[in-house]
Amino acid sequence: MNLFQLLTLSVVTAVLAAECLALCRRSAGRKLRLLRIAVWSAAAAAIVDPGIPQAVAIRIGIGRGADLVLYMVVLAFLGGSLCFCSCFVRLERQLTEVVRHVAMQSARRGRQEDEG
Amino acid sequence: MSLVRGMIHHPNYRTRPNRAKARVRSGPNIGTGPSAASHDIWVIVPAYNEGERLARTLRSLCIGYANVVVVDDGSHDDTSEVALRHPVWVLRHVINRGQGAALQTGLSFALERGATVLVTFDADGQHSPEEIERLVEPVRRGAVDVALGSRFLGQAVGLPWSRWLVLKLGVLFTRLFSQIRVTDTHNGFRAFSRHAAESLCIRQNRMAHASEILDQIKEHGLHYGEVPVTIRYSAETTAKGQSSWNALRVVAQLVLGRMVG
Repeated sequence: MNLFQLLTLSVVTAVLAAECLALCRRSAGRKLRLLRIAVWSAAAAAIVDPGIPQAVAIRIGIGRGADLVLYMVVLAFLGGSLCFCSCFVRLERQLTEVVRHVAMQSARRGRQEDEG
Repeated sequence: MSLVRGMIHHPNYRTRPNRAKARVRSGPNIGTGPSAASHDIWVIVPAYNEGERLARTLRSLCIGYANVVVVDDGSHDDTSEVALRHPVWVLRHVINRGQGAALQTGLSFALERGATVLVTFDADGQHSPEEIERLVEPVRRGAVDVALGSRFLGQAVGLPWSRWLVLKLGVLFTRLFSQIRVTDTHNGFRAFSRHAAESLCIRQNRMAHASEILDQIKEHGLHYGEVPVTIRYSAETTAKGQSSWNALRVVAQLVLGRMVG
């Protein structure tokens, strides 16, 4: 195991442990946490044995492990971007609701110019 | 009795497109300006940095309509102050949220106050208050839930060709994606019955709200029709108005909004 593997594996292991602990303690967001644990586990496995992505790539017809990782990163980026966009739109809508509520609460009636 | 050159679209006609076009018989008040019954009409005017032109618009609106709601959408100029010099309701968004958000604020406020007919009207003087009665007539009569103003059935004075092209592409886009046959998709001059306004929920804060309104009209099975109106473009309204390139942003907002739901 080289220095890069040691460093990244220790970081990934720490994150994985934190996720597992949180999974045991909290019941909220279980599905998302399990998904994250699966991703971190796959990353740890790929770091320990770089031959795994290569073997998977050959099996599913991509050919190179590096290409498989690249495709996964691109898909994860697109999925993440969509997720952030959705969150942003929802936040925008919530903000609009707040602004609307304030506007309706503080509605004022204007007067004719000659009424002063 | 005269004939309005509008089209009435009824949900039952969807499967019979050849019957989609019908003429609306107009009442005696058509095109004659505000009537005695105009107190049931609430006119919603979204405004953003319209201090200069708003006074003129409100002066002409207040002659015939007692219930005018100006929604100042976080303007940096004196839009609110100008509006408050007129006998209108003034609501102020503390930050800019977009025309769609301002319209929904105005509609919600008017509904809360018991409005029976609601009209959306641009602040920049492009629309004519004299045409409000003609626009609301089919709504009042119960022939439609929503009356959509159409500059292509009526008149578009001084319409730049680039804007004409974008508007026509908008019509095509709406026909393809929303499956609604209208001649003018982004006209801010509309009239809603109370039932229609209660059914609508504008979530598109910015310019994509026009397409969203059409989508919701179809989704809720509301009866709608188009009424010819006149839109007057001037150098200043064209300069302040939406850039033609914004059409792409509108499409992106619409797609993203649909994905989020």
